[in-house]
Amino acid sequence: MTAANCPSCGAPVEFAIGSSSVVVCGTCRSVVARTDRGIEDHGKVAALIETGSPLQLGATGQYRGRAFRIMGRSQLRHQAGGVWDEWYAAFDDERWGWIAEAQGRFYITFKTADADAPPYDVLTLGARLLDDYVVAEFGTATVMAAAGELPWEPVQGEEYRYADLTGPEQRFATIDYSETPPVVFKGSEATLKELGITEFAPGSARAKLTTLNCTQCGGALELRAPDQAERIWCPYCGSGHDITQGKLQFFRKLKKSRVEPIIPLGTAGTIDGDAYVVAGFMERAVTFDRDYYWTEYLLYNREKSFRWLVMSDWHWSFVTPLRPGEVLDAAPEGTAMNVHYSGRSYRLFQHATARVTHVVGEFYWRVETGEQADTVDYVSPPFGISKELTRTGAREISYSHARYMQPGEVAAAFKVEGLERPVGVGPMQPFPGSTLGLLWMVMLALLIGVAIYLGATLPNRTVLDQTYDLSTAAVPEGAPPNARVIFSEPFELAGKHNVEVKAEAASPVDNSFVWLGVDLVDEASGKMQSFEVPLERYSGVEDGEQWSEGKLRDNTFLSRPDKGRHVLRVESQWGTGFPTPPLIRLVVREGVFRVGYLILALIAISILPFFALMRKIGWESRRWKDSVYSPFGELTAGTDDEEEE
Amino acid sequence: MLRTLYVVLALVVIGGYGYAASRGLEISTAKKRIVPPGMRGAAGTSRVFWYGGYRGGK
Repeated sequence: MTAANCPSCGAPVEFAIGSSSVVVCGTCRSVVARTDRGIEDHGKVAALIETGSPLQLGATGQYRGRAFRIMGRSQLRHQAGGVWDEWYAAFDDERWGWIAEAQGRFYITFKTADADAPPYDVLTLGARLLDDYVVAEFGTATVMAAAGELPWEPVQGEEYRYADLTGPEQRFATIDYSETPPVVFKGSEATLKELGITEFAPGSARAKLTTLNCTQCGGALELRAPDQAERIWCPYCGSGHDITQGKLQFFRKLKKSRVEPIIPLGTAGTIDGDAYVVAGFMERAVTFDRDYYWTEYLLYNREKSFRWLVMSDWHWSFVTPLRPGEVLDAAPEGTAMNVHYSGRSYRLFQHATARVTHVVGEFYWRVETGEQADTVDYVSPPFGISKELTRTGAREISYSHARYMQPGEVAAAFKVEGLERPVGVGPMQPFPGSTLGLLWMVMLALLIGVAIYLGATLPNRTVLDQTYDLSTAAVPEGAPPNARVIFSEPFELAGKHNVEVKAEAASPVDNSFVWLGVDLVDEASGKMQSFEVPLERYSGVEDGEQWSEGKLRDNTFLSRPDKGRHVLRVESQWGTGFPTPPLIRLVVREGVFRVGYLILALIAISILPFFALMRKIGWESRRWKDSVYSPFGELTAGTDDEEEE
Repeated sequence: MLRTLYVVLALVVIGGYGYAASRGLEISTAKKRIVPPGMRGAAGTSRVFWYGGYRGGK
């Protein structure tokens, strides 16, 4: 420890940590540096503004087995106007840890010596650097204020460039471009519990600040997240105020809006078991052939921080921010056809430039109407991924994960009534029916299994195969001369399976017929099954076209006959196309596999899945009708007024 | 609901197919009759039974 007096005011200052660079005098706010020449005054810095942080100088903690004490603090201004805190923790192993705090999240990082950071000018959003980190943001920060003992020297108003990166498993990194070569800090996002901090700052002035009055109309403005709100828009008169050190600073007034929040500001609700309060409301729009509007509700939960409830055409979704490093995106600054998150693939649905058209309530950034961001939406019902790119000021890429909510779920969560039914099919709306695809495949496999078993076990045995010369057959008494009756040789049937009888005219034929009346006769019982087999063939030339019709062979299947000796009795009569009585071939087979019945069964088990599939295709077609990336082809014009549950 | 209905219907179809095919049942238009024993030896004309045992064929 080194004790000294402030060169500016003479107040005692103390260097408690051997590796610290400066101490900010608590009396006059001079930056007191120890140099080779001794103690020097390096100018003053502004007093800290109250941000409501739970951290405080002197607080102790433990991170991954190492104890630390918070020795210093600085405040930096973001290009978008907000201020964030950085705390400096001196560890018992003589390392310094940087604890950044933004939007209720904490990031602890440590200076690394071996990382190879790229030049600032080649940075692109979403680029993967430094062993699988993703560039989430880069821009310029301005030193605003400092206090305590710091490992670096703050210069009031000095600007420096930085890049923030996120990685898998909550890893986080920052590249500080204030030095050459740039300095890389690596670490991870952590909760206060993971930081082992048990002593919290006493309730700050800002944290207590829950109600203010509008500077323009006097209306009561209740702050839902007083420690994080940067801007509040009066719901009564539309006046916008920045929130600075517990005071409202009016800067602009909006015209009366045509849109009002369906869920009023301040409404409490529960989603997925977490309690939220509606802190802010905005309307945004994109322009294609016309303007398309949707609304977003900013929800706040002290532990979860901020979430969004988005409503478009009465389709609702609950949106959770993601770290860029969690999303696998092949074209971070473009429009890859698919992105992947948590093992799921999301398909590109739309991209546009969204702008804020109305805003009311409090927000954690300095939002105002006209603010623009490039948006890219991906869907994988009932989920979606949205990417937003901010290209002005600090360049930032952010991803969020959305889950479709049925109107009934929203109504129950926030106790609101009168929500209208969704219009058309929403981009993330799940198909309400069943596709039966998997079940169909299971049943198909079962059917094929049964068919294979039948094919392997049916005997398919030929019990008769004979050709008969009708010229030698008997002429029935009283029958015309072109009629004959023949009997086959007897054959044995097992009586367990079906029987196929094939008949074929084995003689040449020209524009004639053979008609067969066939009886399968059980010799023992006299039971018989009778059927007719017409064989014919006709041909000719008509209008110069050759034609032919008819068939000279046919078959018939019979249900299983009884076991025993059987015979075929065949009456025949033929036409004049045969110069002599024709030859007839008869074949009898027992236990024949029926392909036709397999096809019928296949059709039968496919009917319901087919109609379910058609319904699903219709649903998906309507889902994608407003997307230029529709898998159903080009964007189709027209309206879709059909309402869905 | 639809899934349950489908599973039941599909199992009925597959079961019915398997049973009918293994038992040799056919959807046949053949007429089933019984020839009286006295008629089996009688001579007749077309479609009148006339059978006294095998005769014919090669």
